[in-house]
Amino acid sequence: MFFQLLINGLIAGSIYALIASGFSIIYTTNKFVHFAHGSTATVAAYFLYWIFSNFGLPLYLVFPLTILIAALFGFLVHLLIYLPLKKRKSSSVILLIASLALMAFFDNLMQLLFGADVKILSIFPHGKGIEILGAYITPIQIVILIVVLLLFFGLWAFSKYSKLGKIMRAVSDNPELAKTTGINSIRVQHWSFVIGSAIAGLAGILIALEHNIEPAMGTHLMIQGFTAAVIGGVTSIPGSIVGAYVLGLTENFGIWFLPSGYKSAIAFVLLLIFLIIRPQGIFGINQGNRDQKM
Amino acid sequence: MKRIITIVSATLFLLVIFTGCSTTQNNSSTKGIKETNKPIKVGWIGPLSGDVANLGENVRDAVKVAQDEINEQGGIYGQQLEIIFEDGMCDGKGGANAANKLINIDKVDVILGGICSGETLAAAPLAEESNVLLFSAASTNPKITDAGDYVFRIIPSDSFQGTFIADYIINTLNKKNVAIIYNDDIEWSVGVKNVFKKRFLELGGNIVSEEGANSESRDVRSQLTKIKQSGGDIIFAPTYRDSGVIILKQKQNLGIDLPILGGDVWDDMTIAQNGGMAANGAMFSVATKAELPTNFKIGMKAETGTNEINTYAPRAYDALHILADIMNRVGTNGDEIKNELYNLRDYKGIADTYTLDKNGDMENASYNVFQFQDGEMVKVY
Repeated sequence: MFFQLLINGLIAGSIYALIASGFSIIYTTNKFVHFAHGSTATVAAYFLYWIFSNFGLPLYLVFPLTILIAALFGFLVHLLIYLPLKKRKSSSVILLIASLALMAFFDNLMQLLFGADVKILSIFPHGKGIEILGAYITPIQIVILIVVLLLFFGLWAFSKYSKLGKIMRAVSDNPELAKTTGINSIRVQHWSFVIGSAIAGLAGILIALEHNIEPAMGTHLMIQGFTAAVIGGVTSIPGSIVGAYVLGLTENFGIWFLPSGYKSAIAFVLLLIFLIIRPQGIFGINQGNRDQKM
Repeated sequence: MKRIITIVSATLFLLVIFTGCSTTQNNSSTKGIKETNKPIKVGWIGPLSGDVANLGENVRDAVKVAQDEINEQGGIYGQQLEIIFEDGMCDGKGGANAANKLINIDKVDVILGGICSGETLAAAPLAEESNVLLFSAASTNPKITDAGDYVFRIIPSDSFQGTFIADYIINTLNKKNVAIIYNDDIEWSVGVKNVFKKRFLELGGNIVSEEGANSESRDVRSQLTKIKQSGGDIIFAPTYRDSGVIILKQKQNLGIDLPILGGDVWDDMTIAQNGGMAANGAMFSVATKAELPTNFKIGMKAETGTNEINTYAPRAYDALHILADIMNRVGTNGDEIKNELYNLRDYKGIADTYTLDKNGDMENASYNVFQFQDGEMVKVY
């Protein structure tokens, strides 16, 4: 039972991490809560469904194309919605409201276009899992675990060693100061939307394969992804992935002892504990009061 | 100033999100009626958005078929029947909002619905207060029995279904240890589970595990892991459809080979389509169904564009015909219709024969058990 719950927790954590990491990348450089991030994953999943069931393209083309569409979607959302608002010096509250509007809009648009019923992508057969030490795990779940592990190291290396990663951290730390040193912060914000949304596209694909596709899928996961990012430290990209695993494992081990109805309550109690005791999250840096001026 | 605008717009926006948008559709068949000859308005509540929107849409279409038939035959005393469709969103809040609008703005005397028990239970006190009739063809929660004098339904209460399943598991399947997984956010699911549990314990069975899962959760692995450890020899899963598909798939993933039995919501081929091999062998109980007449099937096909007819659609069709019959006899006053409904005896509809008791419930019910076998529904009891 222990090992199965451990695997269940890791799978849940990986799925949360897919949403949390992209969200965190966008948050660090933009400093507002992009709730419609979950909708990017939904749009990507529906795009995958549409292109897969209509055109019969090979998978090695379909998957990258879906990620590309998600990145483009994120870029356009930033360019057409958020950027004009930012130029008018809108506060982060306005941007948050805009993101909620986008979320409601795209969820409903997907429902309008594809219907309310669940769509199933039968690319890989769903069957009995592989048994490891008495616990079961399916091949897709193994792929998800590996992808998230690679993502974790990739993002860590990206933010530590690549030029863009370093610039992103600089903009995240102090956008005004970054601007004075000649960094084009709008371009960096564009890039963070592109990269973050590409990860959401990847999330859309994997979640579509593991669960199924439905209009509210992104929004549901966004709640957990957001919680995970806050727990891990929303300004730290690898931190958000760690936070996702903390959340996934706590939820799944929690109901070993508690009635299973408490599963989502466990997540929110954890969120509250972090908000009270360690608001900057596990890996976040306490930036003092500077942020309050935003 | 800017701050105030922000706060106001935020509040407005949240209001819009959380109250949802209700869809009002006036059927085209009421066109061409002169102003002097006002149509008779009947309200309708059911889910038109969210997880079970497709269930609501199918029932709505069945009601439209009945409406067209009634209007073609001259309506009610020569007046056309108009139906105002409101989205109850399958929960209490949505049901109450829809009922409020229908009662206070549209001033209807009769509401068909709701579909989800949560909707009906929330709409019941509002209907009761305004002497408006609430007539459901789909809500099966036992609490509806006592929901009020103006509340009726032509679908058996889950007191019957829960009891039937308990008897079936003990006496027919000869299984004594049952593990339960149910949707803890759904009135219907909790209702069936409670009745089942009471009866099953009375019959000497053991409940070895009882796990709740949110109907919208797509990860029930840990609940199933607990069930696997519990030593049960059958799983009872009165869950919603999509939740059921997830349970079946993850049950298969986890290598749990126990038989599984759901409630009447599983009477839906989507389970077999979306569940694939994982749905093979899954059983469900459902109130005995009659063979549907061809003209109803043709009407539904024209309305929906598919062959899909869910369990509740024919009952909803019957509900509107029962209402039209009564209105043709006694007029549209809510109290008069109410008295007639209490006297409904052996009314032959297309789905069932209806007799209502003093609580406005079906007097008795019989059930069948079906099983998904290689993508087909096969009657096993």
